[in-house]
Amino acid sequence: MVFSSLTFLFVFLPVVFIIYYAVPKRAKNVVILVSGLLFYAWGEPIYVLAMILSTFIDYTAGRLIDKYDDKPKIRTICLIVSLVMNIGLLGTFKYLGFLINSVNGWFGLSIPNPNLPLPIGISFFTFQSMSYTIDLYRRNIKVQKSAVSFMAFVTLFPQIVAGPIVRYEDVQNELDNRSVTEKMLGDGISRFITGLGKKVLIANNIGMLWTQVKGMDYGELSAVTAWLGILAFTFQIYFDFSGYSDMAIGLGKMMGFNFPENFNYPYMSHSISEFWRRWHITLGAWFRSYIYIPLGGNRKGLPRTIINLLIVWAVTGIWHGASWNFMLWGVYFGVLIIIERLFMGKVLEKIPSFFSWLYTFVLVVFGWVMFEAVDTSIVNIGEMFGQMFTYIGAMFGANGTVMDNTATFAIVNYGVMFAVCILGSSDMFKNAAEYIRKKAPEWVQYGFPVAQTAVMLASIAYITTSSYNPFLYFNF
Amino acid sequence: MNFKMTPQKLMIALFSIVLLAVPIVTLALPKQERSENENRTLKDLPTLVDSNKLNKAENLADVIKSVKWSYITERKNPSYMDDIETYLSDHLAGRELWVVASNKMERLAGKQEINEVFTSDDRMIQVFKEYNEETVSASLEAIDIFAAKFPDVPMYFMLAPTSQEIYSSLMPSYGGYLSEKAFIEGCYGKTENLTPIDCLSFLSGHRDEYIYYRTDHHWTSLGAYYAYAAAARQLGYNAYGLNAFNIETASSSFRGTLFSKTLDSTVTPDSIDYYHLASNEPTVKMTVFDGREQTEYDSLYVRDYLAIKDKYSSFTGSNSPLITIETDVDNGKSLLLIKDSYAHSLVPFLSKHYSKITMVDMRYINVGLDYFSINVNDYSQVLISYNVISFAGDQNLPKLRLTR
Repeated sequence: MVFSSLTFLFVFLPVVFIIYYAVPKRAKNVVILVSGLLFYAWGEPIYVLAMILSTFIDYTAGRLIDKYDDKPKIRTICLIVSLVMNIGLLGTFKYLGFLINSVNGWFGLSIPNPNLPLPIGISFFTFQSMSYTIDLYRRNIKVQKSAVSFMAFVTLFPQIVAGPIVRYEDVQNELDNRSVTEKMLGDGISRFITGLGKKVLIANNIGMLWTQVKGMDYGELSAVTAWLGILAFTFQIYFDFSGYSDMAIGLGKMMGFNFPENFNYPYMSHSISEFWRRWHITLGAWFRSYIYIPLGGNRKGLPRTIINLLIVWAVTGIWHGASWNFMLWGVYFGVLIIIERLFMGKVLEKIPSFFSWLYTFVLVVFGWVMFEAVDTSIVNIGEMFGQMFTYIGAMFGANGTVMDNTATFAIVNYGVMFAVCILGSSDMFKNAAEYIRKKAPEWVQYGFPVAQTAVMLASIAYITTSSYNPFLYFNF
Repeated sequence: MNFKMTPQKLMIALFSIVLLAVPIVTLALPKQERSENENRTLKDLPTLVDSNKLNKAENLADVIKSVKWSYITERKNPSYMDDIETYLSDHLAGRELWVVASNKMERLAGKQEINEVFTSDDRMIQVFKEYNEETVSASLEAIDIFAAKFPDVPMYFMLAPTSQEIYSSLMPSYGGYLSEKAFIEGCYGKTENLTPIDCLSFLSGHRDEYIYYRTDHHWTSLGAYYAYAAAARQLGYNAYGLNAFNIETASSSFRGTLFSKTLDSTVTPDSIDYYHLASNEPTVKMTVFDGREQTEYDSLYVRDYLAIKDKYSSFTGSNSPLITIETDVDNGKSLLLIKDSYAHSLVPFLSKHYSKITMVDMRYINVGLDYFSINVNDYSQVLISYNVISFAGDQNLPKLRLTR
């Protein structure tokens, strides 16, 4: 189920919340568990079993790691079983088909591809689950003895399909002892509506322009059309993804959880390293804790640091989808970050901040070309790169036209939307809201809930009317 | 009681009201089967259980078998869950208000088209931006072969422009709107066995008159009159002058198909006009075959439709596979009219010149015309009449090959 649907807003949400608030404290995790399974099964009626299996194994592994605290071998075996199972699930569903196609392509074989579907959110819940067994093995956290509580952690519906990647340690206290204050509930609702508006009113709208441009022949795009197209996607993915995180964080608050933040105005960054500290923060933190640092991080000399960075970024790339362009996208950022570490970081600090911002933003936009402007079903790497370079070429006028009717039409029809996107990507609204909260008289504060309600009604109108309401994370 | 209002409390209250009121009102209101304004049937509640199988079920295993599992599990569109969402959006309380609100917001944000409808200067225009060349080639080839198959029957081909062509000056040049003039000329160039009828230049000359509906994609009776005047020259008779007609305004509250797509009620509603000859109006017998049964009328106008939204259908009734019109015009001439709905307001004019007109809608026929005992060679003339947009998108003309 997705948040931006009528089924969620008018059936699931009211029913679940009424029950959740009505039942006594000790039953609340049961409500989370059952509602989470329903929520997930609504989108993945079969592969909900994969999630249940993963949860069951990790719970058992956790109990055994705790029980045999003084037997390192058993602890290690339990950890390995958990890792093999989670990575195995991810590997089978997400990467097997890709691997078979690639091997077939390289060696001219014809190994049959089972064409397994990719269960929604599998990359999120396996990572979450793994964080538990790893942290337990490292003795960073205490074991969860209640199967219900553990399963509630994994199936917690706000974050199940598109993050943020909530680690066990983030919620371990709240899992067994939490309460919802009036402030948390009010702020949670407000946060949820902000996210809903970002997704439905902004991302879906600007996304239509990208869908249109993506459907055109890249060999005929004018430079302005190519730029507008990929900028539309640049904003679509930001507002969609951060909108999802806002909705998740808001819903979490409404149930008494404080999830980690996931986005912090990434398009205001002045370096690629900073961009990745502001974009999908929980994913970066996960890879840092569980791959980069165990590999030695930056403590083993420059050459090893560089290799470690490349490994982490290749994995980050391929996490976003089983296709070469995602790998390339990850390595591209890895290389940029290495360059920034070597010398570019110092240059960026010295030049006027507008230029360091421009450098970062433009490189991120080129990243989105690699990420999105290709057909991921293409197996042949050369063909895929060809498509990518045709698009980048078009951005530089390789097709011989700078401006055309399509570009004019896009500017007229999406100009207002672009303006909203640009302002919304900055922290301007947040600062203005904070200023009003501090300085304005009390009655003005009531403007916030009224405005949020208007956003909610507008979002409902769009959801009811529009047939374009995509879920962007099927590849993740 | 010591109650203190806070912004948070107001937020909680407003959110709860919206979340609860919408579903409660939705459930309380009577369920609509159809959206009259959007001119479509609303989705039925999807069911997971095959009730036939369930009624016959004798044990638990049968009950389990009566559940349509594949409807849930198969990743095909639409799944049960998708259908539930469509059902909710179709039946949500105040659905039309939500749609109007969202379209208003789209316009405010600068969108020039809503649901492929361009609105300007108190006029909605269905946009024509792309078409499939293979589909069009296949249609042209099919009608040309059809014409060659019956060399003794003169065949005519009329492609009518839609309002986009006539009012192109209202639309931005950068919008990617195709030239219907070029489209029509291209088509006429590929059908050597048919005589083309140019109604575009006639209609263009009268662009300031009421020749296209403002809220519907059809031409008005006056628009159809000018096309008739253009066609008459080719078909070999003199068209009646406009002053020969008494005009009856049958309705002045018509909101058509383009309104249904936008629900924009700021555009002035249309009027439906019937043109009757002031003297010597032929008497007609119209037989409408809807695919199952025949209904006879003693007029070309089915006035029942004036009472509902779909008022354009009062011209010869809504789209039917086969309509036969017999008149007391005593010249023995007959016309086979292979057509789309633009012909419905054209046929009242044509009917003054034929003893018999047979209207065939290829979209609803999957057999040769001979199946309906139509012998093409019996007709004096054949006219293939479509508007540009429907012709460009139609895939049914190749079925003419079935006719012997």
